Amino acid sequence: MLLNKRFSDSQLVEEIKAGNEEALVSMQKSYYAMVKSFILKNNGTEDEIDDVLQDSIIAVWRNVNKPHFSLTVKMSTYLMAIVKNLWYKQLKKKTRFTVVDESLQEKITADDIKTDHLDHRIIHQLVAELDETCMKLLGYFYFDGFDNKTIAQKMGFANTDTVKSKKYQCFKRLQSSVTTKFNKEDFFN
Amino acid sequence: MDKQQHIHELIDQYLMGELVGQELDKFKIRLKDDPAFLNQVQIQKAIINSVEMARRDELKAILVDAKKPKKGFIIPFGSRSLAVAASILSLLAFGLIIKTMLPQGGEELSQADKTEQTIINEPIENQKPVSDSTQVVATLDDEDQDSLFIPPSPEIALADVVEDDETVDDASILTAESDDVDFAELKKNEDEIDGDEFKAQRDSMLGSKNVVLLAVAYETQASEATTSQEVKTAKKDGLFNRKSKEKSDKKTEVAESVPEKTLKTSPSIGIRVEFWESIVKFKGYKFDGKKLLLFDTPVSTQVGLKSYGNTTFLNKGGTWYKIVPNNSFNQMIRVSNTEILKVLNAK
Repeated sequence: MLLNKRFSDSQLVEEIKAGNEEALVSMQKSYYAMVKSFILKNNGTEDEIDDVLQDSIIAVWRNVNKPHFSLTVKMSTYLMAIVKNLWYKQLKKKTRFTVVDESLQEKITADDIKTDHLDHRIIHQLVAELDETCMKLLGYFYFDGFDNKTIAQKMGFANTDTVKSKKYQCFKRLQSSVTTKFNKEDFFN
Repeated sequence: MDKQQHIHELIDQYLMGELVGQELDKFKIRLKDDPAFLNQVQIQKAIINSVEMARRDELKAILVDAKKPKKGFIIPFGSRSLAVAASILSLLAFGLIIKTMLPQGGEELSQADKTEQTIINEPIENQKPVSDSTQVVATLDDEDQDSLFIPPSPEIALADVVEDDETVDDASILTAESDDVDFAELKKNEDEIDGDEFKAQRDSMLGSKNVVLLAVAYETQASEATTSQEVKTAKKDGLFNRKSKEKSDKKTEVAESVPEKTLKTSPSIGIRVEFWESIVKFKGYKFDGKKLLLFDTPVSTQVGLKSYGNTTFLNKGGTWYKIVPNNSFNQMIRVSNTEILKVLNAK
């Protein structure tokens, strides 16, 4: 159960690095009014506030866990930068009047690898069918960006080698399922 | 670590932009030259995208859940003071309603019951018919007590009709307005009664009438000559011992065989009877000894009042009810004791 704690900026960074999801809830509560004010002043509606704020908080969560992350401004300023970035991106889609930096959002940078020919719905389904341990392990590694030590602590593994081994097993199983689902034409269309 | 695992991690590093220098160059060359390898990288990228999406959804669900009201209702911080005030007002209103609806003066009621119980449990030797109506004691056996003190549901009480074998002599019930009654005194007493309690909010009085309370008592014509020993003997013979029907029958015979004891009915005091309609559909009465409030009883209902011993009885539409003067809201208690009914129905 998540408690409604309030954290200082440095505490937030520490808690996010430790994978404490309570920090997300705390941020949502702390910065809601600020984000609301911004969204409503910039052609947004009440309905859009939660979505933008939640996506921004998750972006902060991922960025904080990136290697060498250092918070050099207030967390509110940092979050608002992401909020503005996301919001202007949405406005661009709607009105085509602003171009903004999108660098904050992307983790996988290999844009030259195209996957459009694959049926992502099938892959989503196979991922959803993973057991809880594999799902968490892969999520922590690929999305949260936790290092192997943190994952070992969070999941109760003996050491980082166990994490590596287990993660590979999970991925291999998933990859095998995906491969058997697709025929060769899917990969070389 | 086997070769496949190494390739898997190499692909991970490339996809995350962590591959640099010669390793990156080698990787890119292989991508161009090896379609199977490119396929593996594409699948790995697609899987990672899906894993990321699943984890994003999971985190978002945590945030969405945190925004949802818990336990059905969460009051925003800004409205909590108002909510507290509203809660207090609600409680006060509820308390007022309860105070208006439910019997009050519990101590009085208990005391009244206790008094009556004491009288009932009084040794038979101490109970004897006397001429003074104020000293007449109702003598009831256990069975009778039960039938008298278990209050019927209000619906039953109000729907009561006179049983076929219990014909009520209307003439014995006086409902006339009597000049002998001191209505100034009544008014004074009425003012002394807590008006707030009697006039429940938005309850409305449909009408009122003044009824003379008739005191019923056994009059002993030769009371002076009757010794206590004779009374005891009479009781032992079954005069007031009614623990069984047989004994009750015997008692009647004995009572009839005592010629000097006759029932006498005499006007006592004036009682103001008011007919009220309750907003909470209360069915019952309130009686302070001088004023009787009847709820859910039509004004046209014929009512009469008699006292026997220390107990007051109401005849409503031909059915007798025991009423307790405790100034509280009470349910009607129908009288079913045949002896009491006989006394009450006597002319």
